[in-house]
Amino acid sequence: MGGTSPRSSSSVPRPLLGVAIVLLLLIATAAVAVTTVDAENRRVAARRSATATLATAMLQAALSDVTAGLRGLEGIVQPDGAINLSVFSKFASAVQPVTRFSAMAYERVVPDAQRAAFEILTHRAITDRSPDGKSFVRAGNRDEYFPVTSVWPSNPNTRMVLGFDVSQDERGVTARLARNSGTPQITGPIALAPPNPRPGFLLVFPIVREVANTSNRDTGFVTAAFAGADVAALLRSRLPMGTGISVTDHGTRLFSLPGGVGRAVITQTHAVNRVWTVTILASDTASHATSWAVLSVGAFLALLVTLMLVRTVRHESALARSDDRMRTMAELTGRLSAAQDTEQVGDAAVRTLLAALGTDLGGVAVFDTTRRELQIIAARGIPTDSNGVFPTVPLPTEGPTADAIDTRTRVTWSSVAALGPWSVAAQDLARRVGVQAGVHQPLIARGRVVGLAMFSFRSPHEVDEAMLRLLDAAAPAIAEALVRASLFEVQERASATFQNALMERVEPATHAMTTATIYRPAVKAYYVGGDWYDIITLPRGMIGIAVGDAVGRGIGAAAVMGQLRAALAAIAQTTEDPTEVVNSLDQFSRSVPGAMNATVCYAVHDPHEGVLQYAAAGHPPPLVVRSAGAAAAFLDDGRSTPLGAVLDRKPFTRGVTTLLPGDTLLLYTDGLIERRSESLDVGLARLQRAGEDLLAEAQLARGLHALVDAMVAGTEPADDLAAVAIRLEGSGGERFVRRLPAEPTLLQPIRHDFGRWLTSSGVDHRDRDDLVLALGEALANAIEHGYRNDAMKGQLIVDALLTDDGVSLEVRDFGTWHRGEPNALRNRGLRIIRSVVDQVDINRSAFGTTLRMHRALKKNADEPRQTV
Amino acid sequence: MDNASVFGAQDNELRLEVVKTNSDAVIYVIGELDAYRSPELENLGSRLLGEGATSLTLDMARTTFLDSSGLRAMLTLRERLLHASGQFELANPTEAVQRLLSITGLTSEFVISSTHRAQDVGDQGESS
Repeated sequence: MGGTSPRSSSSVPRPLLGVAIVLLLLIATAAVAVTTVDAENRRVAARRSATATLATAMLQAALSDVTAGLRGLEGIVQPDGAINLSVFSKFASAVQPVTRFSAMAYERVVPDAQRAAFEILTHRAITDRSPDGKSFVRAGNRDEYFPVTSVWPSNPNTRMVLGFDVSQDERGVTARLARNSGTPQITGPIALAPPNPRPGFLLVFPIVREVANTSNRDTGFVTAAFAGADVAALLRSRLPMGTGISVTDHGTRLFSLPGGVGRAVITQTHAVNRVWTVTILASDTASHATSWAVLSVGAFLALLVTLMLVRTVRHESALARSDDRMRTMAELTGRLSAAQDTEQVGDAAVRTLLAALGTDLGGVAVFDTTRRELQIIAARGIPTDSNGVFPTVPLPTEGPTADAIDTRTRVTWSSVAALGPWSVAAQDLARRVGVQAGVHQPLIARGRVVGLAMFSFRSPHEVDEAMLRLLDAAAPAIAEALVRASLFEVQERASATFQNALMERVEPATHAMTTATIYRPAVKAYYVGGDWYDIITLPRGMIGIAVGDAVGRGIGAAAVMGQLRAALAAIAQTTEDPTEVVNSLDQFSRSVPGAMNATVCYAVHDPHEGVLQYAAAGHPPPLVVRSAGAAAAFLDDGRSTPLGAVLDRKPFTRGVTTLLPGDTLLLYTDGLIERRSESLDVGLARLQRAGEDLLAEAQLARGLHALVDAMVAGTEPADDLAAVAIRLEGSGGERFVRRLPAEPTLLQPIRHDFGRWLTSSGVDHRDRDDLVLALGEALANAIEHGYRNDAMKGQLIVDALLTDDGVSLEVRDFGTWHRGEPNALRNRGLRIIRSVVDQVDINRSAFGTTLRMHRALKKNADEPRQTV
Repeated sequence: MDNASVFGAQDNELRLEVVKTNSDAVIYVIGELDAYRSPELENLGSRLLGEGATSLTLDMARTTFLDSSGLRAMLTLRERLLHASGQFELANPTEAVQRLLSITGLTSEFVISSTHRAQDVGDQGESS
């Protein structure tokens, strides 16, 4: 027993020691764990922060993209104080300063829409407390006023207080300008929300329209409403996997994307004048549970954790740098995408990178390859000339600049002495400018050196790895943005000449036809575009009329347009069938890059038959305004998909209608009817109304211009617009033209109508009665087969002409005569006709049958009519 | 007069009025007899024949227009009466009627009288 006791007593310290060791280990482990938690927290926080930054940048980019595809409303504040408001006919992307909105509000309830309108016209944001009583001016009877002080920048002295009268109906929320000073006028309501308002945003941004006289600057605004879902969908496609986002404005949730495990990072973004709270749920696998798990293991695990910690810390440091770079790139990309020209591109690059690199000076220059000149477009620390323009300098023959451009590799120098390899001149230059270290980064895009980015330090400085990696990432983005912007600038200069050259072939009007054409580019800067028209003289006195629209804008679209237009003119000479022409053009278009989805409408008018055949490939329907006050109507047949759109497409179909003296035909591109926040049907309905009024004008050209003016009134067209109108020599006086359905009930009215015309033309009553009889018989005959052609909907045409020779009378149908059918009636009817007129011709064509009759009039009305 | 009835007189384009005396019937063709309205004349005449009429007179004193289909209706009725050994007469044809008969060479096909007095059919309006 005693033997065991000493063993027992001697073993007492061992457990204590073990406990102590374990405790020590636990303390150590706890310390390690605390360190780990701390490290993890920092790492996670850094990652979340980087993700949040990226997410907000993406959010801003998504908003830009969404607004670029919007249809909205536009109002122009005229110099005289009037505000012309209208619905946009085009996409917002065409209005250049899309990204320069000055006010934005989410649109869920009326007050926010009111606020948005207020903000845009005041050019300042209103706070939640505003508007204060002072800024209100009541005008009118309603309480729902909110004040607007309209200011246009060029004339700060001209201010006026306007009020909006807000109402809500089935069309959405509208604000009508209320007058209080007598000067403002309104030409239409501002729809502040689309019908059936849904959670989303109302975007309002100003447009400043340059006019010839810069002292008369028009200021306007554009509103556009869109759903939060649109932004969410865009974000979903761009944000890193697992990143959730929730966006609120003053506590109201605008939209959210699910996703993300881990804690949220709350950040804010300024959507112009609104502050949106963005909650990002960054996905990460780290959690405190990991650290607590550490505490439950022993020394071995603690050691392991310690080893892991070392790796984590190293990793974290790398991550932090990577996060910084990601943040800078997100910022840079956002700014570059908003840049409108090369200077803005340069400015975005310098502004972003100067801070990120920590350099003292920075500049971006565009390189002119042929002149070997560097045009500095943006810089910090480099003085401009007296006009505020950076100098253009010839590329030095040697030195870091020349080396960077000629060898297409980056040149870094950490001291002036390092410039030694080049020349004393380079060292002198560096000293003169006052820089002692720097980097020359060539900007290469599409295999070409397009420019140079230079960043310098005022003191000797090592250009470290982090800086170089950032430049690696940034340079291609800047270069690509420069190319894009400079192409745009070149395009502007070249476009006018180009467009004129492409469209200069103009066909004169024929004796029987008046033509009028119009071409309006979307934005003044683009005198070139994909829209086109043509009027082609065809064999046999036929006329081809074409209007087309190539996809896209600018020179690229115009080049496609030029090819399609020329091809159609050539093809048109080979066939009178518009479907064959369009079909051939479709085949041709497949060999023209960029021609896919171009649209065209081609019509062939046969003046002999009074028939118009047409085919439309993805193109809006032609409009025809009939003589004799009939309603304007769209030619809806002969429709098919755009050119080159479907590999194995169905044959193009043909529409047929009548086109008679006095009728006016209008072919146009969708720029005429498209407006934002308006369905195409609404645009078509507007055109139908405008067509009736304006194409009825005596002067076709004036009518067409008035029509186009009315259709685009108050808007800055975002789409090109081309239109061609033809009008056939009118009816009236010595001509009697009627179109009627093949209905027996109309026999008597048309006989009476014709009889009255003959009487009023001084035709003797016996001549008249016989001619009326002939017409009656001819019509009765035509009605029998006039129903049989669906496309023509059983139409009949009566066309009579009074000349010195007598009366020529034509009755045209679009049915099929049954030649072999024995019919005593028809025989008798024709016999009667032959008896009462001097000449009868029956002319059958693919379209139907024309009965031509002519009767010489009695010189002496008293002469007794000879009987048969 | 007692058997007078009015058919197809919704408007003033064509009115067909009938005066029946025993087996003699007179149809007053007032207005324009064209392809649209002539079936009504044919139907009316057939009905009168079915009711036992053996003599049918078309009073065309106010027939302002006649075309080939109206003429065909007249010829059809004439044919049926002659088949039934009845009589078919045209009374007081207007210039328009005479003109059509003349140019179709059918004047001699019809018994034309001017003895039958144009019935005063009242003031329900004449077609122009």
